Amino acid sequence: MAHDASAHRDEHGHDHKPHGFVNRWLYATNHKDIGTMYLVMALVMFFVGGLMAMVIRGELMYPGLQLVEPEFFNQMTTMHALVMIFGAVMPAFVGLANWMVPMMIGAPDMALPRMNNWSFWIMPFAFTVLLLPLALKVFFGIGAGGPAGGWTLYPPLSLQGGDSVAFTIFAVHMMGISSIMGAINIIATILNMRAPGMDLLKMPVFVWAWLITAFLLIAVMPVLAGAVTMLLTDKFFGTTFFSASGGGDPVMFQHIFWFFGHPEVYIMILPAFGVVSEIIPTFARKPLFGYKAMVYAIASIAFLSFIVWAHHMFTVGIPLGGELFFMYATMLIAVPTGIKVFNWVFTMWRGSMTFETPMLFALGFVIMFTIGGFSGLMLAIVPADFQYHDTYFVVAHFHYVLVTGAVFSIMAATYYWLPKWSGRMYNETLGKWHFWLSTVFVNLLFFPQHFLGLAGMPRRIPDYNVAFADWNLVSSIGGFGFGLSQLIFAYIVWDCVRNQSLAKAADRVWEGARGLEWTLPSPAPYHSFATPPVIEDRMLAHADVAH
Amino acid sequence: MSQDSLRQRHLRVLRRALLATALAFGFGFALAPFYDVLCEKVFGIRPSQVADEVAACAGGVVRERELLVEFDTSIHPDLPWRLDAARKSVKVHPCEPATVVFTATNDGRIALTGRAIFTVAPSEAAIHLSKTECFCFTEQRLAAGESREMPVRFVIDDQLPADVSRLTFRYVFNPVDTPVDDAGGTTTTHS
Repeated sequence: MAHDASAHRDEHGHDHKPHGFVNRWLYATNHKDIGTMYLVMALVMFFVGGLMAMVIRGELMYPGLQLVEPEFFNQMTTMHALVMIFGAVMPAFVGLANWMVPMMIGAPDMALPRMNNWSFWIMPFAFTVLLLPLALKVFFGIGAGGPAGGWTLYPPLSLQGGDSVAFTIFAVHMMGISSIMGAINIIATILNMRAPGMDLLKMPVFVWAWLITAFLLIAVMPVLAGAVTMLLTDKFFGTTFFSASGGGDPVMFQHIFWFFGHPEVYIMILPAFGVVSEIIPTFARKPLFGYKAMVYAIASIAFLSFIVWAHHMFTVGIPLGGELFFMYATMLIAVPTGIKVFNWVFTMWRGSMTFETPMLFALGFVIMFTIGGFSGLMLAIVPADFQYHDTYFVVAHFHYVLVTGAVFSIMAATYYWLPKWSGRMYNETLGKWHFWLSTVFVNLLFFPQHFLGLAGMPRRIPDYNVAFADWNLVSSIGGFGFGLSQLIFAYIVWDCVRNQSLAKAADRVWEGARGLEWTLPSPAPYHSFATPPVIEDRMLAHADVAH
Repeated sequence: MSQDSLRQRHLRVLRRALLATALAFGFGFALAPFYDVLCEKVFGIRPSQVADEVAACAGGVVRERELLVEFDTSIHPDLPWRLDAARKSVKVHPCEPATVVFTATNDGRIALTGRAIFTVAPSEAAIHLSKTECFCFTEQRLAAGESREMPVRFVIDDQLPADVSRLTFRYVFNPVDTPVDDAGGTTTTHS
C-alpha cells in the first residue's frame, strides 16, 4: 500500500461509512455504494434476461412447438430485450461510471449525490412495474402476461396487447427519468469537478466516452418518452398519432422510435469503447495510440448516430433518395469505428502484452465487435437489406455488437477494476475459464444465426421450417453453454468480494496500469480525493498528453 | 474555489440539461406534424391522399394523355377454369370510364366456386384506379361447362404520376372451398 495513501486513511481513522442497511444503501449518496448497487442490479437483471433467453433457445432447439405457447414465446423475446437493454447493459455502464468517473478525474464524489440516489432507486420500481404482468401470469396465473409485441413497441401490434401495455409504458418512463438524471449527474461531475490539471483533453477515454454518452441520453431518452406517451394516449385516450383511421401513421412511430433507437445503440457501445481503451494500454504496456483521434472518433460516431435511424426501416417504403442517404450515412460510421479498431491494434503493436482475464475479454471485444460491425455494414446496403430485414441475420448482428461487444466489455471492466473495488485479486484461473467457455459458446450461439438468416429464417418466431433445424440445434447448445458459463462469473465476483483468504491486491493492481484510480489504495477508500490530487502527465494512460 | 460557486456551476448544468430534456421531449411530439410536412413537401408522399381524391377528375377527361392498360389472367391449378379478356389491352384517357368484358368458363365436370385476386402494376397506380364493376368483388360460382361474360368497368384519375403510361391489370382465380362473407372485398383493390 502506498505510503501517502495509508497516511491519508490513518488521518481519519475510519471510513465514515453510514451504519445499518437503510442508512448505508437506501439513503446512499456515496458514488461507490450507488455504483455497487447499479452493478449488482445489472447482474441480477442479466440473469433474469438470460433465463428468458434460455426459454427462447429451448423452444427453438427443435422445429415445432414443444416448450411454450407462441404467445408466451413472444413475451419472452420482448421482455428479454427490454430487460437486457434497460436492466442489464445500461445500468451496468451507469454503475461503472458511478464507481470510476470520480476516481478517474480526481473528484470526491458525483456532483449531485442525492439525485444520484434517486436515479438508482427509481430502477427497482421501474423493473417491478415492467416485470409484474409477466410474473403474475407465470407464478399465479393471473392476467394475460407481459408485453408481446416486440421491444420496439411498433403499433398497431403493441397496442393490441392487454393491460401490460400500460405497465410497459410507465416502466419505460421511469427508466427514462432514471437515465436522464444519471446522465445529468455525469455531465455535471465531468464538467465541474475535474481535479486541477485534468484538462478535457487529458481525461481518460472512458470518461470522454461517458461524457458523450450522457449527452446522447439527454437528447434521445425524452424522445422515447414522447413516443411511448403517444402510444399511451392512442390506446387509452382516443388520440390517433399512429392510427390511419384518424389521420395518423404507424410508420411515424418507427421514425420517432428509431430516432431514439439508433443513438441508443451507441449509448450501449460508447462506454464499451471507453473501457477497452483503458484496458488495452494497460496490458500492452504502451500508451493508447492516437488518443485525440479516439476522442474525436467517439464524438463523430455520436453525431452520425442521429442521422442514420431509417436504416432500421428500409423496407417500409422510403423514397429512393432517402434510402441512398441513410445507406451512405450508415456506411460513414465505419470510418470513425475503423479508426478506433485500428488504434486499439496499433496500441498493441510491439507492446509487451500479457493476457490476464480483462485483456482477454478486451481482445475478444475487439475481434468479435468487429465481426458485428461488418455484418452491420452488410445490413446497411439497401438492396441487400431487403433480404436480410427481419431475419436471424439481424439477430446475429446485434448480438455480436451487444453481447460480445457491450457485455464482454462490462465483464472486462469488472475483472479490471474488481481488485480495486474489493481489495482482493479474483481467481485468475476461473476467470480464464470463464472467458474461454464464454467465447467458444457465444460463437456457437450466434455465428450460425448468420447462416439461418441468410437462408431466410425470420426473427421472432417460435416454430420454423425443418430446413433450419440443424443450425438452430447448434445455436441452442451454444446458448445453454453460454448461459451456464455466466454462473462462473457470478461465483468469481461473489468469491472476490467475500473470500477473506484471497491475495490482497496492490494499489496499482496491474503492472502497466495508468490513471488516477490506481493511485488510491485497494480497496478504494469510502471517501477518495477529498482534496484534489496533483496530476502529472506520466500518471495518465495516453501519449498525446504533452501538448 | 469556494463551495458556493461549485454549487452554482452544478445548478447551471442542471438547469441547462433539464431544458434540453424538455426540448427533446417536445421534439418527439413536434415530429408528428413535421412528419406530414416532410413527407408531402420534400418527398412528395401524401399520407392524406383521400382528401385529394375528391379534387381528382374535376377537369373532366384528359384527352391529351393516353394510357395503355394491359390485361393478364391466370388460374390456380386446382381450378379447371379459363379466364379470357375480350381484348389483350385497351387505350384509355385519364378520367375516361372504360369497360372490358372478361369471359370465365368452367371446363370441369362439377360446379365450382372461385374468387379472383386483383393486382395492378405499377403499384403507385393503385390509388388512382377506381372500379365500379368487377367480377373480383364477389365470389363466382360456375356450373359444369358454364361460361359467363363479366364486364369490368374502371376509371383512372388524372392524378396518376406523369411517368406512368402503361398499366397492367392482373387477375388470378383461386378456388374457394367454403364460401366466405361477400362483404369484404379483396385486399389489393381500391374500388
